[in-house]
Amino acid sequence: MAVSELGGLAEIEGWTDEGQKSFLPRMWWGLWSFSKKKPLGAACGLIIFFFFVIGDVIPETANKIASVAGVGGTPVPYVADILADNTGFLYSYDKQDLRARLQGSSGKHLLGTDAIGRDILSRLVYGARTAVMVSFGAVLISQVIGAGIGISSGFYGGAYDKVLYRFVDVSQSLPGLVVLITILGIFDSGLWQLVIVLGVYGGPINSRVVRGQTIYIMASPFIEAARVVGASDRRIMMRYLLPNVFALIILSSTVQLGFIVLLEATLSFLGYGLPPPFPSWGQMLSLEGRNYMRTQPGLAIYPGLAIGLLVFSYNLFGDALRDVLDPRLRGSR
Amino acid sequence: MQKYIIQRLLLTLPTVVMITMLTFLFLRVFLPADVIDLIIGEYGRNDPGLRKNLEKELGLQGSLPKQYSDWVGTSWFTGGPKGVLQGNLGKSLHSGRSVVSELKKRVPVSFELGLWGQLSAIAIAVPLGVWSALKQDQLPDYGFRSLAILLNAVPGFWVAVLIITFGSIWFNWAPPINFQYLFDDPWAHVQIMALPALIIGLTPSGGLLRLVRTQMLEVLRQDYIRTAHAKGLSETTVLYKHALRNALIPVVTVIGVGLPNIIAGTVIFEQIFIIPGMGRYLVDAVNNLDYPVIMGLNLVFAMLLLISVLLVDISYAFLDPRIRFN
Repeated sequence: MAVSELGGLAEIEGWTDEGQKSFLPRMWWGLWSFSKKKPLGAACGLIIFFFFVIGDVIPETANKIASVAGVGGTPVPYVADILADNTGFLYSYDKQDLRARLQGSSGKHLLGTDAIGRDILSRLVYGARTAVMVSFGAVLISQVIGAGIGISSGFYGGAYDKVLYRFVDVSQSLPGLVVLITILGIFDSGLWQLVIVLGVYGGPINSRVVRGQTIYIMASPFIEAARVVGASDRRIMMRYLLPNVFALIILSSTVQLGFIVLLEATLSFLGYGLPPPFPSWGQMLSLEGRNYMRTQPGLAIYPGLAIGLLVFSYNLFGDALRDVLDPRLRGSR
Repeated sequence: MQKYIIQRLLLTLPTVVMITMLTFLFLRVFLPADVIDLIIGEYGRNDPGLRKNLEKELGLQGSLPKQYSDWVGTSWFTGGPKGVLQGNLGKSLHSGRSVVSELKKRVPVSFELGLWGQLSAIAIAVPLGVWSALKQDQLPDYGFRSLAILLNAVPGFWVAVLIITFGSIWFNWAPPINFQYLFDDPWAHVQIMALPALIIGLTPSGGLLRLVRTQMLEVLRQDYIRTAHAKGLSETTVLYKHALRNALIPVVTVIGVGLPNIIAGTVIFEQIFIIPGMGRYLVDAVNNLDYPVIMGLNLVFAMLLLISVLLVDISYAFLDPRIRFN
C-alpha cells in the first residue's frame, strides 16, 4: 500500500484547522498575555516598535527592492519625511540654518543645533533609520545564514558537517572589528553595504547554537517517523527541524540586535559607516563633532542616549521574551 | 593530557592556513590593482614601465600560487624571498618602514591596554556578581542587575566622549596628548592608560557580571556546598575555596575568548585617546589603502584570537579534571 493511499502526510501529522483560532486573535491574545506577564518587556517592545516606525524600515526596504527589481512607480513615502514636512519642530536631516549654529535647546530647535546649523532632534530621528535598518537587516541575514548552515550540517553530518565547520571555525577566529573596518574601509560603505557585511559576518557564528540543537532533535523518534513515512530531506529540514529550532533563533536574534546597534555605532564613529550627510548616531558622536561639544554639550549627550535607549530596549525585550519562550531559564538571570 | 594538547594544536593548523589564504585572497588579489592605480596617479603619468617596476617591487608578479608562497614564505626553503614564516610582513607603502618593526612597537601597547581593560572588567564584575548572587532577590541584587543591563546597553566610546567633554567643561581637564612608553616614563604612561582601560572594561563587565551571578547561584545550590557547610567549614572558606572556584570556570572561558575582541576593540579608544597602538595603525592603513600593513594586522589579530582560544582550551584541561583524565 503506497503512502499516498493513507491520505498524505498532512493527515498522518494530524493537521486540522478546526479547533484552532485564526491567526489575528491568537496574535492579539499572545501580545496581551505577554504584556501582562512582562510589563517592562512589553514597554520595551513598544519603544522598539516606535523606532521601527520612525526608522522607516518598511518604506526603505520596499523602495530598495523596487529599485533593484527595476519597478517604476511612486516610491513609498518615508515616515520621517512626512514628520519633517508636517510638524513645526522637525526638519530634513540636511537642512542647515547657518544663523543658528551650535544653539542650545529652544522652541524652534528642541535639542539645539550642530556646528553647521542642523537640528539635532531631526538628525536623531533620521539616524534611527540607520540603527534600526542595520540591526534588523543584518540580524535577518545572519540568522537565515546561521539557520541554513546549522540545520543542514546538523542534518547531514559526516564529511559535509566537518568541512563546513572548518569554515565556521575560521570565520570565528577572524577578529570582528578589525575585519569589518578592513572590508568597509577598502570597499565602499553605505546603508545596504553595512546590512550585508554585518549580516554575512554574523551568520557562521549564529549557526553553532542551531547546529547543536539540530543534532539533539535529530535523535528524537519523530524524525525517524517522518523518514519512515517517506518525507524528503528538504521536508524534514523545513517542517520538522526549523520549527523546533525557531524559538532558539528568535532568542539569539534579540541578543544580536543590541550587539549590532553597538557595532554599527562604533563603525560609524570611526568613519566607516554611512557617507555623510545622512546621519547615524555613532557618526554624530564622532571626532569631527568633538571640537564643538564644549560649546554645545547636547552634541555629546543625545546621540549616545538614543543608542543606549535602543540597545537597552532590545536587551530587556529579549530577556522578557526568553523568560516567556523558554521556561527552563525562567528567573535564572 | 599531552594527547589532548597535541590534538588541539593539530586542529589549529588548518585554521591558520585558511586564515592566511583568506587574508591573501581579499587583500592581495582583490585590492592591489587599485593601489597601483593610486600610486601611479600620484606620479601623474601612466607609464607601463613604471607599472611593471611597481608590480615587481610589491611582489605582484607571477602566478597567484607563486605570489602566495612568496608571501607566506614557503618558497624561501627553495631559495625564494623571505615571507611571513620568516617574520617578514613587507614594508608599508605609505611610510616605507617595515611592518614588523612597526608592530613590535605597537602590539605591546594595544596588548597592554586590552589587558588592563579586561582586568578592570573582572575587577568590576566578579565582586559585584558574587555580591549580587549572595543577596539574591534583595535590593543589592536588583541594583547590580540593573547596572549590568545598563553597562551592556551603553557604548563605551560614548562614555569616553562624555568624560572628555564634561571634563573639559567642568574641570578644564583634557586627556594627555603626548604618549609615553611604559619604560620611558612610567607615571605619565599610567596617567594616559588608566582612563581608557577603565572605560574599555565597562561594556564587557555588564555581561560578565550577569554570568558570574548565574554561575554563583548555580554552584551555591550544589550538594558539595551543603556538604562543606555541614562539615562546619567557615563561611569564607566555603565561599572562596568551594563556590567561587567552581563558579569561575565558565567565566575563564568568556574572559579568554573575549580578550582578543577587547584588544580589537581598543581601536576606537586608541583613536579617542591618541594612543599609538595597532588600532590607530589599522585605521591609518585602511585610509591610505596601505595593504601590506592591513594584511599584517589582520593576520596578527587573527593569530592572537587563535592563541587565546587555544590557551582557554588548554586551561580547561587544568581546571576541569574530567578533561584531563579522558
